Amino acid sequence: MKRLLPVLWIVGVMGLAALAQSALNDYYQRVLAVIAINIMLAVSLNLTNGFSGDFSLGHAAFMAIGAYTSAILTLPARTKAIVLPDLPPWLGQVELPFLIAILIGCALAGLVAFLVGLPVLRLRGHYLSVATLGLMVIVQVVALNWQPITRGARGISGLPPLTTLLWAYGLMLVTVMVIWRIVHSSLGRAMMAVREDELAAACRGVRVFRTRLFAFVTGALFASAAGALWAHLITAITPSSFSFLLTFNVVAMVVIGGAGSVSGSVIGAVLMTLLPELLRRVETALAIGGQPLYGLSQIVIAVLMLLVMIFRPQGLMGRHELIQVLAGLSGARNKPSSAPAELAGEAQRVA
Amino acid sequence: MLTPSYLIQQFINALNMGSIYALVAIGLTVVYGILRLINFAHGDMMTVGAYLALAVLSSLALPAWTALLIPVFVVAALGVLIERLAYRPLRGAPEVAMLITSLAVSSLIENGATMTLTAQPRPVRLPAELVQRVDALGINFAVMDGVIVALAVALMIALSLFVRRTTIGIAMRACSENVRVTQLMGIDVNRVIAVAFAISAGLAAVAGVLWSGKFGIVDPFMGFVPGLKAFVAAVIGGIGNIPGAMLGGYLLGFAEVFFVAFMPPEVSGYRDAFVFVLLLVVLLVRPSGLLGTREVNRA
Amino acid sequence: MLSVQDLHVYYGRIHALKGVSLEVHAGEIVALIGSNGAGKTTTLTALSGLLRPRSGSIRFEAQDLTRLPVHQIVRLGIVHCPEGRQVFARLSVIENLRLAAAHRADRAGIARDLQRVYDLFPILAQRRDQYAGTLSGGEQQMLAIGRALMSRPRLLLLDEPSLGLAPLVVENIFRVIETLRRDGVTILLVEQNAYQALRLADRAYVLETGYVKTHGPAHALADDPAVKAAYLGG
Ligand SMILES: Nc1ncnc2c1ncn2[C@@H]1O[C@H](COP(=O)(O)OP(=O)(O)O)[C@@H](O)[C@H]1O
Ligand SMILES: [Mg+2]
Repeated sequence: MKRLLPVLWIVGVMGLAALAQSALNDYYQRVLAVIAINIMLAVSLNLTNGFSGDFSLGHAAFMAIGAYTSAILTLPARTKAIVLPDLPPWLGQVELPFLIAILIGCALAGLVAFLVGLPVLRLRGHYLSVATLGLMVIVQVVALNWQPITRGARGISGLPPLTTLLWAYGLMLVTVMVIWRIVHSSLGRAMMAVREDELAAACRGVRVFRTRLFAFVTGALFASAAGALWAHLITAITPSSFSFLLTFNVVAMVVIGGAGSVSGSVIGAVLMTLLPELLRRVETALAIGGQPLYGLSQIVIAVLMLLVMIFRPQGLMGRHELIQVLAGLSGARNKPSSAPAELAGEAQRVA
Repeated sequence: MLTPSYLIQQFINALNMGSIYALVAIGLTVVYGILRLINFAHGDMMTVGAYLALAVLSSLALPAWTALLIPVFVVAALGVLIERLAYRPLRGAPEVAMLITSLAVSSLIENGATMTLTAQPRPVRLPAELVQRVDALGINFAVMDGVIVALAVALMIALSLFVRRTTIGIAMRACSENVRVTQLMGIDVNRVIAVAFAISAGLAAVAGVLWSGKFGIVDPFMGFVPGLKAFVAAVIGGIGNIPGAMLGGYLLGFAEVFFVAFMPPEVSGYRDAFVFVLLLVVLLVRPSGLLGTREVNRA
Repeated sequence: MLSVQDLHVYYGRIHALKGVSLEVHAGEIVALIGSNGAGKTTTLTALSGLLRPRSGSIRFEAQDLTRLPVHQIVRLGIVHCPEGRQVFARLSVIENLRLAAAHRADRAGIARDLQRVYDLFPILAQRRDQYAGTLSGGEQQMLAIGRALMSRPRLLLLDEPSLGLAPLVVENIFRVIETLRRDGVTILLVEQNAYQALRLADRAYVLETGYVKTHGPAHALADDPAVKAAYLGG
C-alpha cells in the first residue's frame, strides 16, 4: 500500500491534467498551469525558508535564470536571428527540446546558487535575507543590461508555447515528490535540526553548512524549472517579470501555508493563485470612473499576510502535513492526543 | 570629459545622494538597533513623504516650506502607528516574523498608493528659488543641491545631540544594547520604540521630499530601491550604529555616483548590481561594518 | 512587604519554578540560596516582571504585580540588579546612572542619590565619563548596584553581586549591602556564596530544582546539617 501511494498520486494527477488539457478552455488551462508553477516555487522556497531556516528572498533570481536560459535554448534559430542577432553564433544556431533546455537552466541556476551560497550562507538571519535579495537585484540588473543575450528591457518574446498542463503537472509532481522525500529523509531531519539549533545539530554530527547549502541549491534547481515553465507559458519574458513582487508572492504562499510543511506550501500556492485571480476580476469590475483598482489583489495578499503573522504566525498548517492532520482528525474520536491537539499546543507556545 | 566642472558636478551629485542615503540609513539603523528589525517598509516612508510634499506644493493655500514640515510630522505619526499595529503584536516572536510583516507593510503602502493614486509617475515642480543656480565658493550649483546637503547635515547634527544629551536619547542607546535591562531601569520601552519609529520615519520623509525634489518625479515604488540601498549603507557603516549609517550613506553615495561617472556607458547600467555586490563584499569581509561592533552570525 | 504564593514559571516547555512561595518583610535582608540552576535567577526575573508566571501571585503591599508592566514595577520601588552586572557598555558611567533615575521627577533627590552612590563607590566618580564597557569587573558590579540605587529602591533584588569578583571587592560589596540595610532598603539577595549570604541575612530560603526546599532564620539554616552539607561545603 505504502509503495503504491506515489503511483496512485502520479496516475491521478496526470490523468486529471490530461483530462483538463482536453476539456477546458485556454483561460482555465492557464490558471491551472500557473497553480502548478506556483506550487513548484512555494515548495522549493520552503526548503530553505521553512526547513533549513534560512529566510531567502532570492527565489526570483533563480526563476529568472531558468526562464532566460531555457528561452534562449528553445527559441527557433530563425527567430533568434531576428530578435537576438548579437548572440554568439553557437547559441544562435542551437535549438533544443524543452526538457533539455529546462535541465540546462536548472544546472546553471544550481551552479549560481552553489557559488553564491558558499559565501552568502556564512551569514544568518536578516543578513542572509538581504544578501539573497541583493542577488535578485543583481540578476535583474544583468538581465536588463546584457543586451546581446537578454535583449535588455525589451525582453524576449515569441517563445514557443511549450508549457502544457501535462508538462506543468508532471514537473510539479517531480518537485513535490523529490522534496517530500528529502524532507522525510535523514537529510530533512538534519535541516530541521539546523533550523532549531545550529550548535546542537553540529554537536550531533550534522554537517551544518553542507546541509544549508544543499537546501539552498536544491531550492534553486526547482525554482529554475518553474521559471522555464512560466516563460513558455506566457511566451514572453522581461527583466521586470522577475521583480521583488514575484518573490514576495511566493514568500506569502509559504508563510500563509505554513513554513515547514510541504502540504502547507501546496495549499498556500493554490490559495494565493486563485485569490488574486478572482480579485483581478474585482479590480476591473470595480473600476471607478473607468479606472480599474489596480493593486487591490496585492493589498489583499498583504493584509492576509499581516493577519496571519499576528494571529497564526505558524501559517495554516504550522509544521504539520495534511496527512498527519487528517489521520489525527479521524483518530481523534477515540484518541485525544492527536495532531490537531498538538497544533493547538504549538499555537499556544507561539502566542 | 574629465573637466574640472564635470568633476565638481559629480562631487555635488555624490554629496546629494550620500546625504539622502545617510538620512534613510539612520532611520533603518535606529530601529534595527532596538528591535533587530530590517524594516523593508522604510523606503516606502520616503514615498509617502514625497507624495505629501507634492500635494502641499500643488495646493495654492499652503506656503512652500510646509511641503517639508507637513510630510515630516504626518509620516512620523504613520511610522508610530505602523509600529503599534503591525510590529508590537510580534514582540518576542522569531525575528523573521517582523521581517515578513515589514514586507507586507511595504506591499500594502505601495499598492495602496497604486490603487488610489495610480502607478503613473507624477512630475514635481519645485519653487523657482530652489531651481536657480548660484555661484558660491567658486562653484556653480543649483540651490536645491545646497539645500539637500545643508538640511541633511543639520538634521544629523541635531539627531546626534538628541541621542547624546537627552534622556530619551540615552534610553534609545541603552535599548540598542539590551532592551530587557533598559526596562529594569524603569524605562517604558514602548515609548522609546515609538520615538525611534517617529524619528526613523520622519527622517525618511525628509529624504523622500529631497529625493523627489532632486529627480523631479514621484511614483508609488520610488522608495523601494533607495530603501534597500540605505540598508547597504547601514551595513557598510555597521548596522545599529548611527555615525556608521551616516558614514555608510556618504560612502555609498560617492561609490555609486563615481561608478556611473567614470565607467563606460555600457558598464554604468550595472550600478544597482554594483551596489549589491558591494554589500556582499562588506558582509563577507567585515560583517560588522566599518564602525560596528556587534556580533553578526547570530542564528 | 512582598508576598509570593505558589509561583509557576516556564521557559517554553521547561518548568523552572514549581510552586515557589516566599515572604519578604520591610527592613529585612532575605537570602535566596541554592545550587546552579535551582531557579534563583528565574524567581527574581519573575518578580521584576521580565518573565510572566504561568500561575501564582506576587503581591507588593497589597498590589498585584503579575500584570504590571516592568517599568511600573520599578516605579513602585522594586529594583532588580540583574545577574552578570549587565551595565550598558557603550554608555558612560554617568549615563548609566542617569538612565536609572530617568523616571523620577525629584531633581534634588536624584542629585542626593548620585552623591550617595559616589560616596559608596568613589571610583565611579573618577570614572564618571568613561564608557562602562571599559570598567573592570568589580567596578562594573559597583556601577550595577549604584545604578539600582538611582532608581530609589524600596525592595532591592540583588542577583549574585559577588560572582567572579576578587575577595577584596566582594567584601566591599557586602559592606555596602549592610549600609543599605541601615538606610532602610529591604533586600532580597541571591547568592551562590551561601556562607556570606547567611551571615548577612535575617532569613533565608533554600531553592532546589524549582522548589523551596526549606526556609527559616538565617542563623538556624547556617547551623542546619543538611544545608551545611549541601551548600556550605560540609
Ligand atoms: N532562558 C532560558 N531558557 C530555558 N531554560 C532556562 C533559561 N534560563 C534558565 N533556564 C532553566 O531554568 C532553570 C533555573 O535557572 P536559573 O533560574 O537561572 O537558576 P539559578 O539562577 O538558580 O542558577 C535551570 O534549569 C535552567 O536551565
Ligand atoms: Mg542565576
